[in-house]
Amino acid sequence: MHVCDWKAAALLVFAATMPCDFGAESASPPNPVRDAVADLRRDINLYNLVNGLQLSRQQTATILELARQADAARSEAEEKAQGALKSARQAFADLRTAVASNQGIPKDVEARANRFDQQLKDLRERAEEQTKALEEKLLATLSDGQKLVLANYKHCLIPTPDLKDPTRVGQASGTDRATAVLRMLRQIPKPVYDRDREQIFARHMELISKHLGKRTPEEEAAFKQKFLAVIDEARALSDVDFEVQKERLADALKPKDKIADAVKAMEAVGASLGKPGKAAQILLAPGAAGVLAERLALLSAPDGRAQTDLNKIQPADSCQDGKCALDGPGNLAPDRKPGKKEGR
Amino acid sequence: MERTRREFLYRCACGGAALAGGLALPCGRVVARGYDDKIEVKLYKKLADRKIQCFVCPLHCILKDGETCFCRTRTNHAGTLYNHAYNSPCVLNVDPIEKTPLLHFLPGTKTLALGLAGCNLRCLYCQNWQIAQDEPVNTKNMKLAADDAVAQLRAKDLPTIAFTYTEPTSYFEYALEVATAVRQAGRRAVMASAAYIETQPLQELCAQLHGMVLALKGFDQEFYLKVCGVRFDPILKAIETAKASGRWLELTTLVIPTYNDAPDQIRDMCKWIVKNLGPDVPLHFGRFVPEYQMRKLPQTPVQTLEECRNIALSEGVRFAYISNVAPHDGNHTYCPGCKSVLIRRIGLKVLENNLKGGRCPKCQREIPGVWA
Repeated sequence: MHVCDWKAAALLVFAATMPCDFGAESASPPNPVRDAVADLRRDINLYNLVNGLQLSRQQTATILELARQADAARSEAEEKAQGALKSARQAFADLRTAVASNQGIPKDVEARANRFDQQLKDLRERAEEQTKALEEKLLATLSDGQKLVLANYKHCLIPTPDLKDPTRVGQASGTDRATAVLRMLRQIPKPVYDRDREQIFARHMELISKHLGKRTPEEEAAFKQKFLAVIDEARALSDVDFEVQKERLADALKPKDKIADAVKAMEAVGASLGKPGKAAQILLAPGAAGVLAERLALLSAPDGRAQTDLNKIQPADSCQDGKCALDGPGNLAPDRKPGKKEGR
Repeated sequence: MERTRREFLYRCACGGAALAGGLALPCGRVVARGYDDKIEVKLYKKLADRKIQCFVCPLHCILKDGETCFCRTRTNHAGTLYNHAYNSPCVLNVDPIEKTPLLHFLPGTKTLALGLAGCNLRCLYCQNWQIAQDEPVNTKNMKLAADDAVAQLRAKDLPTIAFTYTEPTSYFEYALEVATAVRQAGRRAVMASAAYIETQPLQELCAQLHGMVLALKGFDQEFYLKVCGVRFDPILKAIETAKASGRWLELTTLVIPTYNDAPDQIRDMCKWIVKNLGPDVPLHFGRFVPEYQMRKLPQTPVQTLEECRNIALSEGVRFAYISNVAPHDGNHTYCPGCKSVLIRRIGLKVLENNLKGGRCPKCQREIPGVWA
């Protein structure tokens, strides 16, 4: 099962557009276990992207250097912010007292709060500019194909099939879930299908709402009509026709991914405001340098390519009983049994 | 345990039906799960005592009555050899032609890709073992005669049909029939094969095909015997025969960590290719993914594939690719002259095709392949 935590992803997009959120305080008390889990989640997410990008040794080294620079910039900005934070604390405390009394805010208190708030904002924007510059350098190291993978990447714990096990050349079976669902629905006997048709749709809708966003009643009604028509068509087709048309039918079953669209829209808003994008949020995030250093060490390790001793290989069972061609046709006994007896 | 009268009668009826069915069918016969058809094999010799010898592949199986060839598709029925992998594909897809994998053949187009059960190799890493290492009677088949295949090509407006996933040698008679019909209909047929086939059937097939990708799985006898279960020499002979046919040819090698990735072996292989087939035959280095009986090995490191590709390029192979790794710069087609990217791909997907009339748009160099 693919655990794509969309809400976390959306929050991450917002959170990460503010590399140093000076002055913001955590709402919940410190919890080392929760933090450790969050760190693991972040590392896994980063590894999933790094694996999907198929970064070369050179690219990994370059991005690692950029991630270290991002860490250094963050520390420097944090240090610079300390003085401003202390001043802001006093100014905000005075403002709090004034707001709590609900008797109007004295001009000087308002001005001081505004000034220090602006100071924190400036510091944050400067840090963002630095991150943005590093991100541009990062993107310059990626190929067009890698940029495409990055654009389509969804934050996840378990990588999606296209990252985990992409379709290989000559592979007979596909990994598309919609096709698998259609194939399964074709197997259901007619009376059962007629009886459970509505239930099948309801279940499908439940999954859609959970993973792709809730639909309005109008959208749901329109999709229901389309969904049931596609399934009816898939069931009515011959085996050959279904196999040839399954891709088109499966595409028709996939509704719009509202959550992904929302995340992309937020990314676009972030980009228009000059905020760092997805590449910086993941590959230049705090902790990324550690993961990248680990990956670089792996890529730099000798792969120990000793030749396998072929004499130690156990041939396939099916090969043993048929004796394969190990003895060659020249050595074939006249009554050799190359295959098992089928008794057709 | 008590049983009701109804249960007792039901069980008696089931037992009776099973017994009757068992008597009616030949002993050991498995009923096909889908469409089952057969055709008499073209290339075999009748021997004494209703034995036969098959000459489709270099195994030259000698079969007694009732026995089945090593490929699991051809059976001796009372002295006549029939192929049961006929008109009955068990897998059918509309795939990008790049999945075949042909990269210099109508890039970016779709193909009607099919496969029938059976194979005359026993590769320990077979990625389609569920169908390739089984018999046609055990797979769920569809009925697709040559005419049906042509009709599907027309209906979907597909330029090609591809015999892939399993080994076309094991269903040579069907492949030949379909390829002939497809050619007559003005469309094209291509195949992916392990090239363990005799010269005559290969020549017959090549006459009807327009292109093929052949697997050169390793470059020594021991590897082929131990890992693929067949001899090595016939493979080279078949590849040379395919090249001599004038049909478009590409080669593919799945690089298996520690088994066939020794740089010296890769170098020898590339030297042989350049010397015997020429520098223009594209060579694909595929990433191994643990499968079937080789699940304990790791995936091929990308660096190993890069090293193989570099060796190929340094030995004079003009078009060396990396497959099963995406995105990677080894997915693209480069001009051997000016090195500009001609076809940009991400895995099996063509992102851009800059070729102009089969030539590099920059230096006008002609790029070998079937482009239209």
